[in-house]
Amino acid sequence: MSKLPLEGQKQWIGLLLAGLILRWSLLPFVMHVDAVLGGDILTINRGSVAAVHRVQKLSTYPPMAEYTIGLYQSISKIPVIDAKFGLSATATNVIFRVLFFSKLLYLLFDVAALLIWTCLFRDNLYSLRSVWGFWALNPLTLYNAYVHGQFDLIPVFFVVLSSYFASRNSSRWAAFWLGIAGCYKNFPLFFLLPLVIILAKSWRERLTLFLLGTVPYVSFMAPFLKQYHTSIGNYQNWYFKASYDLGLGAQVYLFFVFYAALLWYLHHRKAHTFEDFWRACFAILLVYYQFSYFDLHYWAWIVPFAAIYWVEYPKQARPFYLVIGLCLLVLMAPTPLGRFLAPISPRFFLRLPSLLEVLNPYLPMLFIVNVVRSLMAGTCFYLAWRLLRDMPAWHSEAPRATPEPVTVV
Amino acid sequence: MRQVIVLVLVSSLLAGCTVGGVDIEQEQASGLAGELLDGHSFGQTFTLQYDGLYRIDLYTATYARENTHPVIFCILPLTPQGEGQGGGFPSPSQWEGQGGGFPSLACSEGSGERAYLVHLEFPAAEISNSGPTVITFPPLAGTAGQTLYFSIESPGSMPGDAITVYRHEKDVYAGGQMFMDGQPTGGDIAFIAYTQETFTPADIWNDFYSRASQDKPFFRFYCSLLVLLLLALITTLVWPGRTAGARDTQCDPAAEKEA
Repeated sequence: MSKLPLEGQKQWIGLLLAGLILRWSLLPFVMHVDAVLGGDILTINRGSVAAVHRVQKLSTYPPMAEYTIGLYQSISKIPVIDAKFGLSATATNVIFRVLFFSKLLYLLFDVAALLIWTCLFRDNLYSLRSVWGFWALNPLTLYNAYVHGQFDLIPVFFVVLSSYFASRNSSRWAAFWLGIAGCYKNFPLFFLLPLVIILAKSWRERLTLFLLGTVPYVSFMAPFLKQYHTSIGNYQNWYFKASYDLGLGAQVYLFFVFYAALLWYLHHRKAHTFEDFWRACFAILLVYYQFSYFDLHYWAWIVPFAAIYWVEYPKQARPFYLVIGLCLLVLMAPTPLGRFLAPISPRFFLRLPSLLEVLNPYLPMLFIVNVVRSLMAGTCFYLAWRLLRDMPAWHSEAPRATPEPVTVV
Repeated sequence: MRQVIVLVLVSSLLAGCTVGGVDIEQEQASGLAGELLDGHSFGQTFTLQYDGLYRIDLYTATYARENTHPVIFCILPLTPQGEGQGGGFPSPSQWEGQGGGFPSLACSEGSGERAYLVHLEFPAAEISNSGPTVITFPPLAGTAGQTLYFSIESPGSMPGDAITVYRHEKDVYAGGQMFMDGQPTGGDIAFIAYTQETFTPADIWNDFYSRASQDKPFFRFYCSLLVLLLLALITTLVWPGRTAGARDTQCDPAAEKEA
């Protein structure tokens, strides 16, 4: 690796430290709360430890995730807060310690992702500074891991790792790490087929990449199929809701219509560049969110590709990120954000209403939120279209040839 | 101007912040409980999550007529509330030990012996037929985790001149049950209970500190690393910078690309 050009860049190191301090501050004091089970992070911890000790079946998360977190929990001896506590879990004395050490695992993956990004953009200081700034203050990762307490940063790290190898033309490693990412949460599997189509140069190589991406997933999932609680039946209602009905139970899922069309588009472009890959993945997620119900923390999935777009095309990215960010802020209206601070004072913060509850008597809040949701959908569709339209190369990295002028006789 | 803003901020912080909302929401009903006649009562036990019970929305009905007899509403504790609350009230199990019923739960009986938390009388005209009757009273302290009992009676009411309440025949609310004439019966009355509390920053800090101080080793570790990070940040920002050679020699590929 070449030497990082860091001389005279103290303000950027300061920014990295500020990002670290911000994360550190959020670790023990903020958590997602849930009236029945206490909160997401407590449910994940409980299920993971139980899975490792074979006390109960796997919960809703993939086996690889449960075993990774469960092993970490067991090694670090983090106390497990019983489900019977419910919301009272926030009032226990050990809650700060539990939150801190549980989320520390996410911080490790978060910092590891930053290191890979640093390697990815190490050749240019300007790009490096952009990606550091993006990492330090990225609200999506901050919300996902440190506020909500979800473990999406683990698969996101593997997606970043996969992107790194894809950028270095190591398509086999890229496919493999994408498969590993899919073992933690299923969303990285959306990127496997685009990766196969874009980075493989022959049908044989395509098959190899496909197998490298799917074999880890199948190997880790197959032994646990009987124990796995999440049935495919939930997927259609939660994640692929937008569809049209053909009668007799037949449905066409709009996201997959787009996905198939995109794959054919990529296939006929015969594109082989890393830029095609990240653009396609970015577009896939932008469209996916518009066809499925999502909680804000799912948006962390888009971070690896959003970071590259931010670094490579900051002027283009800025207005889109601003609008989407504002829309996401409005979409938070139904979420009682104050409750995330419940560990500090459960008696006070658990009783804070959401913005929607406060404004509902005066404004048609649900309508307003849905209007904003629609505006964001339009923005995301347009950005996805631009990302695909502006794919830089045709057949290779060479710029697209200017068409010959046609003389009409 | 700045002083005024600071003053407003400080005074609002000291005054505290009142938060509250729905504590129990049992709106399910399968029908009416029947006319509430003289000498009878409807009641419901319920367990609150928070302190500061100040309002109960009771789903009532008037049979779309003008009833004439006043209605008495009262709330009393079932679980002993400790010394601060006057204590001494028998628990449900103790009542069960006295014959399985709750003979002294009526609002109009033994009022001299019983310290009601709330005892209100209002005219029948105030009973709603098209929505819940909103009953408000000064916030009750120390209600978190307590099982309370509310009862409604209408002395003098007779068939054709009586109100009623909505109820669900099944036990849809796990935190309590319906009573008729002091006797537990199946199902639950439809009602919503609201609580509210005022917090000052000191209350919030005490809530935090009382728990954080019990895990001192963790907070020592946490704070020392936080201080280290802050020191590193300050050092980075204060340390005299070297020549910004790298910055000048590097080009911005993004700008080039976008151009």
